[in-house]
Amino acid sequence: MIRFLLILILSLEAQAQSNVPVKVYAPKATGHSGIPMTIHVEVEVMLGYHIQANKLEDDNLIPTTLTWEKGHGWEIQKITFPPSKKFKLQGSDLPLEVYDGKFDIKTVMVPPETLRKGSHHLFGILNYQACDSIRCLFPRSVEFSVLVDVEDKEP
Amino acid sequence: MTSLFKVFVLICTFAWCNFVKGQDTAQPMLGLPAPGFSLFSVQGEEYSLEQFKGDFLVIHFATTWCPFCNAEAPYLEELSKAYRDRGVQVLIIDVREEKEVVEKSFARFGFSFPVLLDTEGKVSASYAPVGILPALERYEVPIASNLIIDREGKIRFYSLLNTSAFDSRLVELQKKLDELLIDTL
Repeated sequence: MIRFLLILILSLEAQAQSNVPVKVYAPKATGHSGIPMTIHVEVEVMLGYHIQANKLEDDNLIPTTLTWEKGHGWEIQKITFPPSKKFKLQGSDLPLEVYDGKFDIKTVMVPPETLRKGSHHLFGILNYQACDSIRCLFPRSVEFSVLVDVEDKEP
Repeated sequence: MTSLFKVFVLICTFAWCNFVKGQDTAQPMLGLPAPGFSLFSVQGEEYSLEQFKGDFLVIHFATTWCPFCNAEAPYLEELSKAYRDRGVQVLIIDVREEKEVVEKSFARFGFSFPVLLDTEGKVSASYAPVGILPALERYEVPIASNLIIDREGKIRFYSLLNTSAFDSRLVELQKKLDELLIDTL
């Protein structure tokens, strides 16, 4: 019990000292060459922080974006962000559109028809700009990779 | 029972450490001389801290993409107009952005006070209190903060860590400014 509490306290302290308030995890995916598949990118925003949403009305703000490394013939069909939340800033008429906590970004991709069967790594970058309740951090990027097992096209 | 006591001691220690940390970090750098600077404004005029001695100076560290800074901007302009005749000057120090970007973005606010360009972030970094938020780049620490510097060039208000919600209406700053103006009559 005490060990658990110690770990909890230390991890909370470590989080508070971190300059990277966002973690990204992309679980392994399985697909077939030439057939659309969905890749999930799980994002976790540190407690107390929020990041700007993907769709923003104010052009001056920096939206959260997901980009995939181009090449190798993978076709990106659609990237879907979750609905944003409203963050009401005292003194401002317009609420900010933000994400906080954990959320999932879905990408529909098509592996190339000619892709050989096996495991493949895809590389992506999440760009975001975070704030807590009183301060804003400079924009940051997280690079990540996802392992995709490609099987032969089903007959 | 012994385990429960140990848990209690552990929680108390954690709470005490955070309390002490909070005591240390509320309103940092108060009473210290404000770090000097010499920067160019968006209009190309040079400003230094030295030339504001004799007036109270309100400084806001900003960037064009900072939503808190943008929410505060109209209130900062109001404050500037309301206190100008009482010997209060207002400045924005924009951190690590190109002049063209700042000029275009801040034009919508029609500021009547100077917007200075800290393109390398050195001035901003000099206002980052030692040991506070050590994980952040030093130029990043003061972003969205407001300071009052008195007539002798000493820091009398620093909103860096002392509120639980961003005070875009500048209520606390204005309160402090009023106190200082009364005290120095």
